[in-house]
Amino acid sequence: MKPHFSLRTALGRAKGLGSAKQGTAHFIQQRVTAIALLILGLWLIWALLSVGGLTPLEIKAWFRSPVALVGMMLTVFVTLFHSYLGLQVVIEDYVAAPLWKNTLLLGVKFLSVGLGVLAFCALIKVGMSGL
Amino acid sequence: MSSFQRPLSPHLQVYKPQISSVLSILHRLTGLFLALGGYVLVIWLSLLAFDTEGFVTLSSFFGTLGGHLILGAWTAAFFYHFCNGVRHLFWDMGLGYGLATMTKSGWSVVALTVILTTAVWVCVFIRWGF
Repeated sequence: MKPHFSLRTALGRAKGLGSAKQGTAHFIQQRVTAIALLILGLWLIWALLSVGGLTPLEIKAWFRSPVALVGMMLTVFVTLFHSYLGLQVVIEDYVAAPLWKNTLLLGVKFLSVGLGVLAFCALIKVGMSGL
Repeated sequence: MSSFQRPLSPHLQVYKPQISSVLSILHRLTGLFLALGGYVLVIWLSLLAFDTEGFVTLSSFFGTLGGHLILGAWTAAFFYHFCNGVRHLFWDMGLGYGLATMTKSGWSVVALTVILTTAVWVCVFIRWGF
């Protein structure tokens, strides 16, 4: 017979102990980006082999093709997102102290977004130069 | 009432390393290393766009022996994380949890990593020499 009182303590409820009741979105996002990276990652290896040894000017010219430009943008953004999700889990696993944990989480988030914007600007500049 | 530091039961000191546990932590470690690689990729692209001199400096570093070793490590980390990632995706579909299957798929991941990393770097050396 189900008890008509809660088995949770008041302190436990106040501290938010127990199941987080959320995390499915994170799980799915990690898998979706992983699947995308199955393709993008292999493409990146091929792309880097293609431009290795070229002069900077030749590399910039290589990026002017739409496939190269869009491919590299997608690769960078999806990689930054996938790595952010992974780092989030690692930090939550190993860092217990709330101040450190939350600072690191915020830091990695800002780093990922910042580098994403940087990469976008860099690729637009390279890909669109000499329009 | 303060709690004193209670002793923990030993794990790393006593548990024998196995294909399951070693590959699991390796997936995490390669992931971390690849995250770093991703950041360097962004820096490399940014130098290409905004600082040609810096770009040449970074590119020539990767041309050195040390640079090649780092790139080789990233290649291996990538293929390991890739293959073990596929193994994870099968688990997510509910497949391959049996002990025998897990062991076989695990060793396959290790073998594939070696094969693919070697293949890429053979191509590198054929194309550009040492």
